[in-house]
Amino acid sequence: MDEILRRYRRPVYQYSHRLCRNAAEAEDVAQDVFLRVHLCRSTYVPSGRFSTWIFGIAHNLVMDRLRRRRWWAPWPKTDSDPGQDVEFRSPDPSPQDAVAGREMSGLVQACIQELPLLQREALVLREYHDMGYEDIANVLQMSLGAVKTLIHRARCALKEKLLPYIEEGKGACHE
Amino acid sequence: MNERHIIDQLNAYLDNELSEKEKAAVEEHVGRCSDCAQELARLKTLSETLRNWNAPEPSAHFDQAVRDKILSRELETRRVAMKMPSRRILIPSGLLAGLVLLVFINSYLARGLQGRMPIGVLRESTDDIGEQFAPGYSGQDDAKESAKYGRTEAQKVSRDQYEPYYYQASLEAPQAGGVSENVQTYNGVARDRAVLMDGGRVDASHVIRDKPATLAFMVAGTQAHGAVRSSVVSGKRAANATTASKTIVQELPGEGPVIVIQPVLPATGEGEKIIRTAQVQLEVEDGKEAYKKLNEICAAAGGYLASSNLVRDNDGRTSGHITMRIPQAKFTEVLDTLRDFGKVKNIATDSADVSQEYKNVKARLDAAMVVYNKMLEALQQRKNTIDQAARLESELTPVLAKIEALKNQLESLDNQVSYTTIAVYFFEPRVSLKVLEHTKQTIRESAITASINFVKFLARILPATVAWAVVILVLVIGGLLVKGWIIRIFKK
Repeated sequence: MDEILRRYRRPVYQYSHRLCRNAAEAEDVAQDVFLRVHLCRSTYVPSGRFSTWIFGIAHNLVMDRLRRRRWWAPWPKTDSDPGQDVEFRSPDPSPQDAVAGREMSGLVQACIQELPLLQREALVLREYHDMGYEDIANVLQMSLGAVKTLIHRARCALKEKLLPYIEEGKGACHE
Repeated sequence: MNERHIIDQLNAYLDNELSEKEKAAVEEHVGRCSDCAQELARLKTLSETLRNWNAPEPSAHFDQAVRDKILSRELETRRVAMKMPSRRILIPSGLLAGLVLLVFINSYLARGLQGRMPIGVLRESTDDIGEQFAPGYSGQDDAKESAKYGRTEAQKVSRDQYEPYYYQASLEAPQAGGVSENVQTYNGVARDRAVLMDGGRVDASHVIRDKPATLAFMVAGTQAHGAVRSSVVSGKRAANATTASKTIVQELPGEGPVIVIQPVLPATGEGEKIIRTAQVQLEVEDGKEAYKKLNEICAAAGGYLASSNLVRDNDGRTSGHITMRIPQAKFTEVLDTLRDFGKVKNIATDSADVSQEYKNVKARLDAAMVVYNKMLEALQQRKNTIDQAARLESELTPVLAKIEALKNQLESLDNQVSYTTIAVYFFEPRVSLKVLEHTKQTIRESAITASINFVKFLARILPATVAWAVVILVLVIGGLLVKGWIIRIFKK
C-alpha cells in the first residue's frame, strides 16, 4: 500500500482536485480512492494497466460526489453532449475575472471548469496525466471514438476562449 | 479550409496517437498546407498554455489520513462481523430458545391447570417440610412429650407461606408411661401399626393433599395404651406410613402419590359416647352441580343440612360450603362418597369423647329422679298436712326443672353423638375447563368483534384514503410535468 500511495498519491489527488474544484473535497475523494483500492485489492484482476484501474476508481468516486451535489444545487445545467453528466456552475472566478487579474493559471482553470464534465475529464487525463486515448476510454468506460470527440470538442472550446487572450497577451508583451 | 485539410487528425498527431505511416502523411500534409500548419501551431500553443494550471500537492498528512481510514474501516467491518453472528449460530440458537420457551410455557400452563403453584416451588416446599417436620413429630419426641405431661396439647402444622393449610389436634393420653416403652420397642412405621393392631383407634386424622406434592399428617392415639402417636409423612415415606395405618394410597397418573386416609371409627364399647366431626375441602369442576349433589348425598344418608351457602365470585367461579348432619352409622360411607366426588384438597376428622360427661349427666338425672320420686311419694301420702304438702310441692318444682334440664342435656349429647357433623367446603379451580372454555369463547368473540370493527374502520376511511391518494397522485404528476417543462425551457 505504501508503494501505491507513493506513486499515485499526487496524480490521484490532482485529478480529483481538477474535477472537484475544492481542496478538502478533493482530498477526501483521493483518500476514498486509496481506501477502495485497499478494500478491492483481493478482487483486482490485472487485465490492464494499474493506473487505468485506479483512475477508473477515482472517476467513479468523483461522479458519485458530483451526483450527490445535485440535491442542493438550485437548477441544473444540461450538457449538449449526449450521455454526459450534468454540470454545475463553478464558484471560481469567471474567465473575465481571471483575465482581469492577469493570472494565466486562474484563466486556464476557469476556462477548463466551464467545460462539460466528461470533456473536462478526458482533457485532464490527456493533458495533465499523459494518458492515451485507449486508457482514457477505459477509465471513462466509453468508446475510443467518443473519447476522441470529447478531446476534440474540449480543445475547440478552449481555443475559442483562451487563444484570443493569449494572443492579446503576446501583443501586449511585444508592445 | 477545404475538404483535403486534416484538422481531425491533428489532435491525434499532437497526442501521438497515430501510426508511423499516418504520422508521416500528416507531416507531409502540414508541410504543404499552411492552414493545417497554423492549426497545429495553435493546438500546440493551447497545449503549452494548459500546462500553466498547476494543481496543488496533497497535504503532508495525506498518507496518514488514508491509513487511518483503512484502519477505521477494518475495525468497523470486524465490529459488524462480531455484531452479526452467522446464520449457523443464529438459527440453531433461535430454535433452541424457542423450544425452551415452548417447554416452559407448556409446563407452566400444565401446572397452572393442576394447582396454584409452579412445580418447582412446591417440590422445594415439600422437601423442606420433610426435613423440618419429620424429626419434630417423630414418635420418640411425642412419647417424651406424653411421658412428661401426660397430654399432647394442640399441635399446629403449617406448610409454609405458599400453603395456608394447618392442622390442630388435641389428644389426651392418660397413661403416658406405656408410651415410652412402646416407642422404644417400635420405630417408624411399625409403631403405628402396632398401636392400631392392638385395638387402638384413631382419635383424629388429618390429610393435606396438594398436587404435585403431598403432605400427609396423621395423629393416631389409643385409649387402650394411653399412647399418643404422631407421624408426619411426606413425599416418598407417605406410602409406607399411611398403608400401615389403614389408609388407602391411590396412584393417579401424573399427580404423584395421593394419600387418602380411611377414617377409623372409634372402637366404641358399650355405653361409649363419641362426637365425631369432619372437614373436607373439595375442588370440583362445577360448583352448582356440586352443591346439588352434596344435598342429595346428605338426604340419601338420612341426614339433614345444618347450614349451607353458595357464592359466585367475579371470575365466574362458584364456591360454597355445606354443613351436614349425618347419622353416625353413615359417617364413613359419606366420607367415602365425598372422596370420590371431587379432588380432595384437605380432609380432617376429629372426635370428642363425651362418655364421662354423659354418664355424669345420666347419674345426676337418676339421682334427681330418685329425689323426685321420693318427694312425689311423700306428697301423695295422706298423712301430710296442708302446710307440709305445700312445702313439698314447692321443693318438687326445682327438682322437676333440674330433671328436665338434665334430660335436655342428655338428649343434646345423644343427638350430637348419633348425628356426626361433616363440613364440606367446595370450590372451582382457578383454571378449570369451564373457565378455559369461557376464556376461549371470550377471545373468539373479541376477535370477531375486532375484525368487524376493523372492516368497518377500513370502510369508513376508504373514501378519504382514495381521495387523498388521488390528490397526492395528481400533485406528483403535476410536479413532474412542471419539472420536465422547466428543464425543457432550460435546454432550449
